[in-house]
Amino acid sequence: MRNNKKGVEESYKSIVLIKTTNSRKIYLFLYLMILILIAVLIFIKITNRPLDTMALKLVAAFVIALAIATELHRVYNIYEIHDNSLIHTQGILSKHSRKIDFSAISDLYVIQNLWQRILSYGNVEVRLFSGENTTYIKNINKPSEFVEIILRKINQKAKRG
Amino acid sequence: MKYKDYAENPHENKSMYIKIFIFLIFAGILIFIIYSSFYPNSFSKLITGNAVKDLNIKDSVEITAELNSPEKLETSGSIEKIEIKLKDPVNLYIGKETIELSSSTSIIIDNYQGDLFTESNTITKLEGKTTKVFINGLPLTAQTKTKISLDPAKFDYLKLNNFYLDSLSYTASGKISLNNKKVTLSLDNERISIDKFIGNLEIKKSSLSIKGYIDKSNIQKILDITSAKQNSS
Repeated sequence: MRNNKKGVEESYKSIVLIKTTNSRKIYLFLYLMILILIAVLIFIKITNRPLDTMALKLVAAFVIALAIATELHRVYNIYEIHDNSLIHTQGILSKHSRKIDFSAISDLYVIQNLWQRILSYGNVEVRLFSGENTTYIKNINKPSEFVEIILRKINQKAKRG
Repeated sequence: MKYKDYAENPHENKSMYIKIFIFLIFAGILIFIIYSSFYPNSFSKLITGNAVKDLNIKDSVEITAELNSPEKLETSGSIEKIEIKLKDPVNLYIGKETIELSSSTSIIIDNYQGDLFTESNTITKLEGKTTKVFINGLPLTAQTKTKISLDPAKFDYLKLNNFYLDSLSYTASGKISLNNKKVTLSLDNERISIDKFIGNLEIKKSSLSIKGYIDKSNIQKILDITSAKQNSS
């Protein structure tokens, strides 16, 4: 039992080939809000209009809160490609990891809507032979390249036998 | 679970609600900034019912001044009461009506909200809204706020009560007293800048009287005049 646990730990600690999180492109809508608020503040300053200190504090609080929230949201989901497996880790303080061995993967789908195609990010659906617990890798940059790397690794593993 | 299910799953709906919530906060802040910038006293009036309370008493200092009248004065926002004594005949527009006013007519405008610009004892712009106007003591009232404007008009007397002035900067002569006359400055053709003022302002011929409060942060600017004077002497 102890040996088994040790083996799992070792496989989790294997070399990380690729580590990715949510793309910042999904927050463009939020970044645009920040830009609009800053642009309005600059306009008010340039036109010498009175600027309410409460408004200034609200903008500062909103910008800081959004910056922190988006970064925390990004690191909430971490996807790692190891030599033999794909690991999906969820959580910030308490972590929940799921390891998918490459030999268990049956299909890989890249899913992108028009907006995601324009900005070159998207989702990857990882299906298993078991047909259960499909894993979704959401909003990563260049999902096709991510899938290519997994496929290459699967092929390498198949050749090794 | 197919992709369709995944797209419709509750997590996606939750994410949409969060986005809407963030957007509403953003819209609220944006409206607050724009509104408070164009109508500086309106929010404080909504909250406190009194524009003078806009400046925190801890952060403001009482100011009174007797100076020569400024070349230019520009204010936008709400003014509790405007008192004007005209020098020349001029047209006043209230709603769709035009009122021809003769010289020496006195006008009182209550609860005014809009722009008021003056230049050399002439009102160059008065465009805004009001609920009550008195012409030579006779009231003209409206149930809702009505548009009011005045053609460029020379005046003998102008008084603005309980209003916010973002900035007044000009070469002045006269006296300024701060903090219940604890500090009194005499100016002789010196550049002065009074920012973030709330209170009353009166222009009578070539003299200007102000009484109200200014933001504490502007005290240094005014006191710098005295230090500059001491250095030069």
